[in-house]
Amino acid sequence: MEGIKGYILKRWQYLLKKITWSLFTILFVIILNFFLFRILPGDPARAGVRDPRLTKENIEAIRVRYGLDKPIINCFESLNPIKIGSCTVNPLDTQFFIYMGNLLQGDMMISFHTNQPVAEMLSERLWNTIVLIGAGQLLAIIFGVLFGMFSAWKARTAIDYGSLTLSLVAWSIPTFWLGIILLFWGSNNGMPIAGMSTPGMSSAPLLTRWGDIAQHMFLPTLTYTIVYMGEYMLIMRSSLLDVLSEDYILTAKAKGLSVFQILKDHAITNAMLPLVTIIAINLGFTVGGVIQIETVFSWPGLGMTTVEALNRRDFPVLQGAFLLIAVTVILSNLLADLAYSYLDPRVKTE
Amino acid sequence: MSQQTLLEVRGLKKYFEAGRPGFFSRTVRHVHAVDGVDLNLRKSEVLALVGESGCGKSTLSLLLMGLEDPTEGMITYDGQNITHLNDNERKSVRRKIQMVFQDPYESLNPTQTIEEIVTEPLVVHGFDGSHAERGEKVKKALEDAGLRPAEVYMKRHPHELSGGQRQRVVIAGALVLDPEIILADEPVSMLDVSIRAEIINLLAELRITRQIAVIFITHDLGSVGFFADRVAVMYLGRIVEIGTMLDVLERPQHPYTKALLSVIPVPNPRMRRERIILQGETPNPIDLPTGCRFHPRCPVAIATCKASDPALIPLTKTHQAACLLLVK
Repeated sequence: MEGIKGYILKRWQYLLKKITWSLFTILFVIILNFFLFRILPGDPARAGVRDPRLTKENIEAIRVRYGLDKPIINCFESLNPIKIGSCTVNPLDTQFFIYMGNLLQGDMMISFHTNQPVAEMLSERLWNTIVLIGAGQLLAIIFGVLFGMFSAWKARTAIDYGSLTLSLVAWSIPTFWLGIILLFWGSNNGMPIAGMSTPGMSSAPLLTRWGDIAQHMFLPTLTYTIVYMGEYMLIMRSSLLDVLSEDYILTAKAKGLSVFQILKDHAITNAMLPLVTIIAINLGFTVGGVIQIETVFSWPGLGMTTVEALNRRDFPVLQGAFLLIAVTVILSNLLADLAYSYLDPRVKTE
Repeated sequence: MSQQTLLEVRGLKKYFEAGRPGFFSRTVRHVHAVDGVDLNLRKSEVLALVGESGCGKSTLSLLLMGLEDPTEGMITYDGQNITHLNDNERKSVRRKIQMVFQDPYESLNPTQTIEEIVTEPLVVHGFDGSHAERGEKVKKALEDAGLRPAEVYMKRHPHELSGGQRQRVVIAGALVLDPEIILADEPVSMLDVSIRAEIINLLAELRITRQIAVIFITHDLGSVGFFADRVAVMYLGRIVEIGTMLDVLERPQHPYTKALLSVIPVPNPRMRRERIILQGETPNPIDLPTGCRFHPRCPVAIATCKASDPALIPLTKTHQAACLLLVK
């Protein structure tokens, strides 16, 4: 076949274009974040330490320690005719260039608040978030797809209308409100409602520790599942209804395929297409989007870290977290794109 | 042409529930989609079923395929009653009656390749042969449907083919089971005019090479003259005239058939004919008119048409029409 070679080449070109665009987007996000947080009112050197006895000399010492005494950026004389900012400084000795330089070497600097390296801190927190999202997404996908299929199969009956209403309600409930309600319900039933593990469990045997984490995970995961299940169910239902009205389903019936075969070979493969895109995009957004759930249940994940860092004007952590969120969104979009073109042959030849 | 009857339909009716006339009303109204159809189809015969949209011709095809359950009446295939069968019993009949749908853009699963589409019926019906035999059968079906050489098409997906080629794939999917009857529900109405003749020729060819009987459902009387042996004209769920192609097209007896024929465009501009333009809309199939169901639009209706409902009256050995004016 002649076309195969050209097709593979085209595929690589497409991928290369996508990756280049992704890199540009990430660079833009890095630059934007740097300035975004520095426009925020408040002084990082004072936000962390609330002690009124703090002297001017102490504050200055903290500034020097974190490099906050240096100018943010030089004025770029040749590009900037109005000469805003300090133009006399060495451009390489500004906060912006030090940050960029460190980032290029893979160093995300040190948190103003905990004095830990940001990369270390975030990777631990990101893992906690991934555990939570992973469980929640998996359950939401399983139940959402099942209910959606069931609803579409029993379309326009009481079962369908019932689950449709429930899904719409679940999808529309504010996440934090649902979280608070479940938190009350959980605390009445003796469930752990905050944090990831019971204090003093770190020396317990591995299985006991995991059991403890699972107990702590129950309520946040339930909240997450309920909210996203509604969305998946609605999409699966409408998508499957669309597919079931197609002529190739009627053809399959006329050819003598059983209900199960029709669903498996013809309906679901086609109905899953829109869902795959949405799941992949959701994966990216929810890394940043579980802030509400993590805050309500004090889950030490990326979302809660971001909120804490924001309150303390902890620039390195904020920059790191936002960079991480941006990268996951971009990566999962790329993933959605690739998955879609793999699953749907119609996309390939375009 | 053999005289052996393959498919026989007696008094077939299909009513759909259409909801209640009022909120508190207890009676349920019905759409009379198919309302007493008698038909028979002989081996390797082409029967054209003509009627305007909404006359019940598509419902009739779904009934014949067993995709809808008839309200009343009987369908026999090869002497066997196939009116109400369960899925298992239906399976052997399904092999013998295959269907070609109107829209080739919707009747093929976009995620399957042509090979998978044409192979699937064999798998479903438990084809017991080697892998190579199965491949040969699929190839033969594709080539018989006019997709030559088959290898070029087998690995492709439906969106890479034109409308005419897609319709050929649909036909190949039917042929692969060696059917006795192909039910073609407006197989050419979604295609370009230039390709219509090719598909019609293909169907005409198949009845000669493979002895397949074809029920050709269409709203276009013009394309019927091409290759049908017999023509049945449907109006509001019932057959109003049936006969050989020459009977119906050259000597139409029912006023509805006459009206349909009079509006077919004639290529010769000097040849002028009187056109019969029917007044009004097709009546609502929920509240059927009393008496003859064509009388509100009939240009030659007489008083008795309002009161009595005519049955099909035999005019010659092959020709029947349902009109009170023909009663002698």
